[in-house]
Amino acid sequence: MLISTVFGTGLTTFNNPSTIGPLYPGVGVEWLLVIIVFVAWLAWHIYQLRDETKQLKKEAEHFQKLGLEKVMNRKPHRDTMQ
Amino acid sequence: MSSLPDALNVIFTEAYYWVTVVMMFLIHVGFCTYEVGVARRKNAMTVVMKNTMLIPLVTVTFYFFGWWVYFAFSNVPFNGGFIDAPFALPWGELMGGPHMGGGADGNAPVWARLNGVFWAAFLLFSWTTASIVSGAVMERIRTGAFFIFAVLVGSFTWILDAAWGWNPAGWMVQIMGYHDAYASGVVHAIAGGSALAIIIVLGPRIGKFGPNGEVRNILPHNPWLVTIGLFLIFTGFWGFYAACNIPIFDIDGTDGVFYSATNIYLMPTTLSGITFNFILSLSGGLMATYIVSKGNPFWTYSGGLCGIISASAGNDLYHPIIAFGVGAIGAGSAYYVHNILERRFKIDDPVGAVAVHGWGGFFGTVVAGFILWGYPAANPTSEGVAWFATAEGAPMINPLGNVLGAFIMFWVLGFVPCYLVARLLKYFNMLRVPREVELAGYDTYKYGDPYPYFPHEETEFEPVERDHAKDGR
Repeated sequence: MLISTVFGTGLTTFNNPSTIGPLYPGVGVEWLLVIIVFVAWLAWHIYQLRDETKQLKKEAEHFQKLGLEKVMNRKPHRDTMQ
Repeated sequence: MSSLPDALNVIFTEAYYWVTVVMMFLIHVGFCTYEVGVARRKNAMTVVMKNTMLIPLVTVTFYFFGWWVYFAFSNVPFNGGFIDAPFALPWGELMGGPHMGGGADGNAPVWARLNGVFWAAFLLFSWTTASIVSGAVMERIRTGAFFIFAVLVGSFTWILDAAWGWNPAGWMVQIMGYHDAYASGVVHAIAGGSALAIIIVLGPRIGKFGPNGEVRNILPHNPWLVTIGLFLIFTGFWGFYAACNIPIFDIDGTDGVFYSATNIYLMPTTLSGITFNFILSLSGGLMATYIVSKGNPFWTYSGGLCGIISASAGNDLYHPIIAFGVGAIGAGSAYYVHNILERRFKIDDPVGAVAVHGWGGFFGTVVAGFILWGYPAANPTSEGVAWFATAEGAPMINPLGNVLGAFIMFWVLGFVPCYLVARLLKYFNMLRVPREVELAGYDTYKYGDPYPYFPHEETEFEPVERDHAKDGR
């Protein structure tokens, strides 16, 4: 009920289309959708960078432990993977 | 739309751009294919993921602010203030998807149909610009750092340059008479400048240059895939050319009516004419680089691309033979530019992006200013602001405008912002992967070998890398 109140278009017919504007739900609260996705976008970058930093550190340590030269010989392949 | 001719015009234009967007998708497929082929086997999947993820990141940011920048900044800073562009704001109704055009704005029926496809066409240009940078930085940049550059270049700097120089009302067009019909400068020079800045800060791949400065060849893992990738880029480039035109527009400046295709500046051209020029400039580039590179496939294909890029600034008006000549000279010289960058300046650019896109775009923009000297650049939006004007008062295409324009594209909007951001990322140790990961390969831990059923054949370069691993260099 709340969703249809906030996001409902109020459209019950497509007759007389020249008077119709937007067809999408959420007219009037587009700003809210923009804020949510904008924050999600920034959060995505922050998460990705932090996760990548951890992952790269882990990889570097793993290769050091195994011995970088051994890893670069490519044999045996499976030992080098996560 | 209550009249059939109006509806046909608008819905044809909508369909026209929609088709160009689908065609331009092939540019990105081509870039992915090409870059994966150039990468070594140990980095292939990371390279493709890096290039794939720029698609959503540039898309959301281009939706949030890139499209608005294109309209809002066209006068700023030298020809007035910000322009109101409510149809490009992400919370505006015309950015809201399906819309029948009913509303207070008299242009709403047209914009309701065209906003999304115009936006998408420009978005595909944005992916391309960011993707050009991707190849140059491969095999040593951190993926997260590349994502930041993709957003910076794809959703801000390139579209700012388009607002200035690729828009009939842009101040570079109106004041300087800048002309760059198919984006030699606004897409390629800026991408080349951006790539150069990042790879200077990033440094070369480990072992690329020997202790005495000798250049070591790092072989692509799949040269055949490289050529297919460039073929796909050629194919998508057709769509790019069509997308840079307005298919039907009344160009008669008097009381009459005359419908024609136009370039991005609303000045006349024809789809037929640019088809001549596209193919001839491609041919010029291929023929020149086949000779100068002695038939090297990588450089012959790249030369075809560079031929188109070099002639693009003026391909709306050139004679096909001029397009051929400009393409040949631009591409032939790009081969030498790459060698100079690599041998003299020790710049490691695995795909030759700085030469092919940066030099080709810069050269093409400069040349167009000379060859098209005297043509009207656009209809004037305000009187008396143009440095050089035609007898009818339109800003005139001229060498000075295009030389300065090329400089702005490559250095001011391409090199400088990326150099500053690269320095910042380097300061926070977020620019380059750890040495161990670079030597072992990006994919080695995370993805494994992309060819698990094929034995690994060692190249001449691998012992060099192992020496680096051994002595900690």
